Amino acid sequence: MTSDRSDPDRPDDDGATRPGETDGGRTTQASGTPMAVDLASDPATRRAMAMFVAAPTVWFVHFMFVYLVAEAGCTGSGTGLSLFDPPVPVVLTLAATVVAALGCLAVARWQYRQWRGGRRVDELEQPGPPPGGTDLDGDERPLAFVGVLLGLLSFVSVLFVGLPVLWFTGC
Amino acid sequence: MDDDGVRRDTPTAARGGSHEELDALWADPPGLWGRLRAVQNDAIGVRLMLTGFFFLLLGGSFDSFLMRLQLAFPEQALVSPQFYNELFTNHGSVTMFLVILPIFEGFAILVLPLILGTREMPFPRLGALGYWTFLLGGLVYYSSALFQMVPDAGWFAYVPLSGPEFSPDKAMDFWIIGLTVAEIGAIAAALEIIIGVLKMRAPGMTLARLPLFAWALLVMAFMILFGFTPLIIGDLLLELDRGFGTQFFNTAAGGSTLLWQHLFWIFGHPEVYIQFVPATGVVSMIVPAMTRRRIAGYTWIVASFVAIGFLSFGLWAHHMFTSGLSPIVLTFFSAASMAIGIPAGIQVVAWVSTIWLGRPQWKTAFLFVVGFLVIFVLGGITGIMTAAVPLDLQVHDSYFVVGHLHYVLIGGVAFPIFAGVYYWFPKFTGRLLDERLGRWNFWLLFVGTNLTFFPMHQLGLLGMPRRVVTYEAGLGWDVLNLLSTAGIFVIIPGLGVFVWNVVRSRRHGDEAGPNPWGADSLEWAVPSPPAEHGWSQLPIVRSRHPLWDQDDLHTGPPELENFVQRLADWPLNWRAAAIVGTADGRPQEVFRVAGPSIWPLVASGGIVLIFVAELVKLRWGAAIGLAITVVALVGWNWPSPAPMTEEEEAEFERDTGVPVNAGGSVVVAAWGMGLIILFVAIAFSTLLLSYFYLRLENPVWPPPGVADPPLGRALVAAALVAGSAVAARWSLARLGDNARPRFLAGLVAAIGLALAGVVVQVVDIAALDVTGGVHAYGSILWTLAGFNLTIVLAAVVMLGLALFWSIRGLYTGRAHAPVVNIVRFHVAAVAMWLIGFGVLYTGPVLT
Repeated sequence: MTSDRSDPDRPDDDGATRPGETDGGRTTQASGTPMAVDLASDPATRRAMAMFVAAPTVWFVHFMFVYLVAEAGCTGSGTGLSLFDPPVPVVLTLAATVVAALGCLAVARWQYRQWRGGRRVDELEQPGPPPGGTDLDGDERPLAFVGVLLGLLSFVSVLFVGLPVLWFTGC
Repeated sequence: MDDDGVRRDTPTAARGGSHEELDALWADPPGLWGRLRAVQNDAIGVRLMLTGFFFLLLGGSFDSFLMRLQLAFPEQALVSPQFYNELFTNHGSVTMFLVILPIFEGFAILVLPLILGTREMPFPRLGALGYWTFLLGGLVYYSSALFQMVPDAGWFAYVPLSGPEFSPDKAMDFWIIGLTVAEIGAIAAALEIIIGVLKMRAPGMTLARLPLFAWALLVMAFMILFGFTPLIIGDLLLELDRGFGTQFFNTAAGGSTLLWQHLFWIFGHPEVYIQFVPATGVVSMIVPAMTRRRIAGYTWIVASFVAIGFLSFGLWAHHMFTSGLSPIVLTFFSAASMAIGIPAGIQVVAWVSTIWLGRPQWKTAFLFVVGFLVIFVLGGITGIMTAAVPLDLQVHDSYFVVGHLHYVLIGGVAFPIFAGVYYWFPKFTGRLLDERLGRWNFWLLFVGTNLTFFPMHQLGLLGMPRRVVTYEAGLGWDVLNLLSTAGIFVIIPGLGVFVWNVVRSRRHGDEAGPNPWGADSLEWAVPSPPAEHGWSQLPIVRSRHPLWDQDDLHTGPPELENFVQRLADWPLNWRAAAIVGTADGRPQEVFRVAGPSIWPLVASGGIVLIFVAELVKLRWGAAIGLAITVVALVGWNWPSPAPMTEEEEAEFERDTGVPVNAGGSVVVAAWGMGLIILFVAIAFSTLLLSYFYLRLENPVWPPPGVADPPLGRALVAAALVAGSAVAARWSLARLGDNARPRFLAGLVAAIGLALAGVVVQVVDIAALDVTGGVHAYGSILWTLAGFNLTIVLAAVVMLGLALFWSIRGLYTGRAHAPVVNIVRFHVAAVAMWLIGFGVLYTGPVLT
């Protein structure tokens, strides 16, 4: 990321030591408040985003991949496209399904560990309780559980989409 | 406190001494001129909802009433076949594009700031632009009736019926152009909602404490971005075929009719979920409030929203099961269509569990929720049925599908909208809707909906096709059709009772008080109706159910208490709002929200003019429209000095630890640019997929007689624009070093190199012996190239503005967020250029 705030090494800076300088000088004019400008300097946000989109993205990439390979194998003809003639689509579909299913399980496992660790994703980067103190809502479960669920659902969906080629192979 | 831990007397928001001053500061200016400049979320939200409801009465109700009258008895001739075509086309188009979406976007813009504990949406002027483009687009679409050229090719506008050969008049141009303008408005509102939910919340409202309605709207907004953009590209290609002689959809010239179906349904199926997901968000707010029970399975519901958002983009071809796709492809789409039943089922279980464990108050809003559950589950089950290819082959294009989709859209979407109106009406008017009328409203609609649409399932199974103007007697369809028409006569009084209830209760309803339902979310802590600024003192959120769990909404850690108190008293002469960390809800920045402006209206007028010029084939008018739009955008973003001193800014930051950006938000602007780049990238990806699809449909590529494009000049052009991106990045680094002359030189170099690249590339394309009107190869080549050139030219214009403001000394080494964002856009545009031209020049060789 490019800083749009001051650089502590700038010649005209007063050179005083400030908190937050280690983040590359993304500090504000008054007292050096760390200036989280976007995802690049906000790891907790990046992690939360990854939690929500990782497994479904694996599903979607798998889906588009097997669909486009099948289209290329069934519809197209041409020098490069002959690479996709049957039975290549079926082989590629099964291989991609195995890889994607394992990917979804890996995401689910990663999120499960976060969840079991008892640490909320939104407080990973900062020690201490979240702003506002501990949650008063006793039955609230950590949000990482969403990642576990999405990992498992994506796993099932990948198998749903990929495995029928064991029976239906024709164009 | 009840034994279920849910309290009746909920805390209220602190009023604070600055209440009146803030209220006046955030109010829109009075009078007609003030209304045209209005940007306040209340005004925009209510306008969107009322306009959506107006289009519903116009298109949803009137059309369907006439169609049902016509079908009540066999062999009737109340309407002509042509008029019937126009009726069903209009009914589908209006309800899918102009009714449900704006109503939910209106809900979002109206309610979100209160629910999230903030004062405004991030881009009020963008919200206003969204409204005006939606309104003007809808009016352009409807003006077709004035010219006796009503679209008649179905709401899906399949080619070749909608193409130049079979729809030679302007009717389909009205459809394409009016709805595209409205789609642009939808995307503008989506950007606003995404950033609003992610960045503008009360301190302490972490993602784990985000109300489910906000989650649903967040998912909806992302889906709009990913779903509407391919449709805009599809519309563009169709209009190019109709108005400029390209051959995208002409199978005789290398085009593909299926390409349109793909592009349409990549939008069209997610569109159903774009409407359904926010409806489930409404239900997820009402169920806990009305059953006095925390929602069961919060995390499960959040996961379901996200899962539905993704899965809905893998089902589009289940609308195309009968179009001859290969069996292997059908299985992919069939499987994904069934998989989406899992998250939908999880949600239903969560709601039913909450109701089961709670103690329902049978208010009208809750009745509509129960009605939703019953009708939606039936519609969902028939959806799983039609996801099975063999059954779909039988019922495709029959009344079974009409029954299914109306169960989903009326039960699954319209009922939650009614529930939401009954639920939130008191918040924004201060008065409750009448419960007795509400019961009439509900039961008439519930009975009417089932009576109208249940027989359609049987009609479909008995073989009645959809979109037919009449049918023969004695086929066994007569009684069922008559029953279905009788249902309409129950629905219409139901809608009438609703309108009467709203009109009457607005003035004469019972006083509501701040929290008539004893609900748990933040909007019920402020007075009904709320002040213009919503919150004088921002709440500090410590729970997922703040009104049930917190005794006081403004107590918390000292630094947060200090922050919200300081922000209640300062500033009082500009509109300040807080930005929080996406995940942790810690205050990150205080920034100035834009105030009233006429430019959003001017800009949307310019946008509409660009499109209308194409409609009336006065294409020079598009240049005027473009000029108006550019002038409006420049005026819109014209920097205005903050009405405060740097010392005040610094003092607030020293005191609270939260920086102030009265010149405009750094954080929100960066997110906005990120989403704009995403939008352009989705459009670009759609064009790339179209390229590959057309390639697959043609055995010979390029067509016989056309040579592969030579690489020479394209490589030079690519090197020039890549150099331009490097120069822009280099220039930015010099600004950080405070090396101003080198910064300016870098900007000039970036602009010069990009322009040189554009010229070289245009010369090369023009020298190719390929035109856009002979074969689909030329059509996609010119269109994709034109897209890339346009995006880079847009970046050059932005760089030029950055240069202009830099010369005038606006940017410093400390504050230059706009330049950073412009350079980001430029780098993204260059990356798309390299991919796009890479595909165009190497595609024919490699495939």
